[in-house]
Amino acid sequence: MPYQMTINQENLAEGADVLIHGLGTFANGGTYDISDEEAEHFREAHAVDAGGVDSDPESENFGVYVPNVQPGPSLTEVSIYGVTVTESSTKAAAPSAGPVASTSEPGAPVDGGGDS
Amino acid sequence: MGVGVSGGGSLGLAFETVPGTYVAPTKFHPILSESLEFQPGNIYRRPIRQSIDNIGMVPGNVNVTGSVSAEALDDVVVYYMYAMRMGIVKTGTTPNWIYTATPTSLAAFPTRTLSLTVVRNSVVFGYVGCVVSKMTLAIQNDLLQMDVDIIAQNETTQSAPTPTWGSTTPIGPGNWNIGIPTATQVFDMDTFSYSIDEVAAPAYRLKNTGPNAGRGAQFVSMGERTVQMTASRDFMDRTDYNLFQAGTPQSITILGTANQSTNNSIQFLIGNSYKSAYQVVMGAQGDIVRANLTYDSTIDGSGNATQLVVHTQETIV
Repeated sequence: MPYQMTINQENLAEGADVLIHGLGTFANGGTYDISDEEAEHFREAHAVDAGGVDSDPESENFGVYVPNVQPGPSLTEVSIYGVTVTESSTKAAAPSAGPVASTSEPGAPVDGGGDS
Repeated sequence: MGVGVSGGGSLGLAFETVPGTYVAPTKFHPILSESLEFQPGNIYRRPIRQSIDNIGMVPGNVNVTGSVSAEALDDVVVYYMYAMRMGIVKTGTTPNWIYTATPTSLAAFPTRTLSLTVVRNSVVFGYVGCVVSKMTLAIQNDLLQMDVDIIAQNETTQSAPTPTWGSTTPIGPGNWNIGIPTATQVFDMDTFSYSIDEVAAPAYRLKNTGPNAGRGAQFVSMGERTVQMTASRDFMDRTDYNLFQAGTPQSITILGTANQSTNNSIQFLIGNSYKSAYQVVMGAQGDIVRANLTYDSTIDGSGNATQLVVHTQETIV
């Protein structure tokens, strides 16, 4: 897996749910493999619309709002409290990420219903 | 940036080490609304000088005021309690903690100050030196809701945080134990609003340091504290009404549990409450005869006007 993510938020109990928008729900204290696909989904979930109103009087879109949605920053570019993300050495070469437990599923954040 | 929508925003908080110095958020929580607003305090000039218009403006003292409304989650309320004048004792063992908060009378300052980071339409607002001027816990939409009035020393520019979210359950129907007086459970109340008002105000001092050219508050002070509760109950006989007329104090305990878990709850106690208003209302033909009460507190035998007890897995670090 290209990324390895460790979650250790001191304010939460071991095993408490930690939901990261666009990535899924993880247990505090765990280490997880994150695939390229999951990482990309994270960027899409944090996309920003950098669009604006076309101000060129010569343009046929003059005065019209033109969206320009850009993917958000990558997992290694963001700062998340109590979360460490490293690019795995296996990204370039081969095997084993070691004794890693992964419970996340791409694009399928776990929501307990009525939870925050 | 395009046109934003509120649902895409977030609010995070962190305790400050030095009051007024920004700390990136360590805790994010869902909110229902917020209205934090930078107050510039512009000083407009109107000297007599052959003009009857403002002739200029001098940048004045600044602060931030507004409120945050949220579901009252046990892992969140505690942080805001620290931003009031509370003596908070933490007991229990990991992972189940009990925070017992008792108002203090030692200083004009809160126990801790908070940095609040609000992201609106992907734009970051960093508010520093935040204190809770007033906390209200009330039933809204059948859930326990928290409204906190905030006063902050200043605002700073910060980089965007990436939130994480917990899975705490709000306190809703079927999870209440109302005791009036404390040991006697009653079943005739459907709504209440409990508040602690610290009457905070920004305090400005002559200085030249800090964000916004040193024009922020040096600190936020707090004044006389008032603990009050309003409630609506079914009116069935004169027993309680007679106590109101006689000016007899009562103790009140309200306990709300999340999913009926003893390890996730918010309880508040008013040891000595007096009814300041007792309206018995007949509104219309089909209305139930209700009593609308206002309770004002005085200190009890322990010297406390109120006490809050929160059971949670949140570790305040």
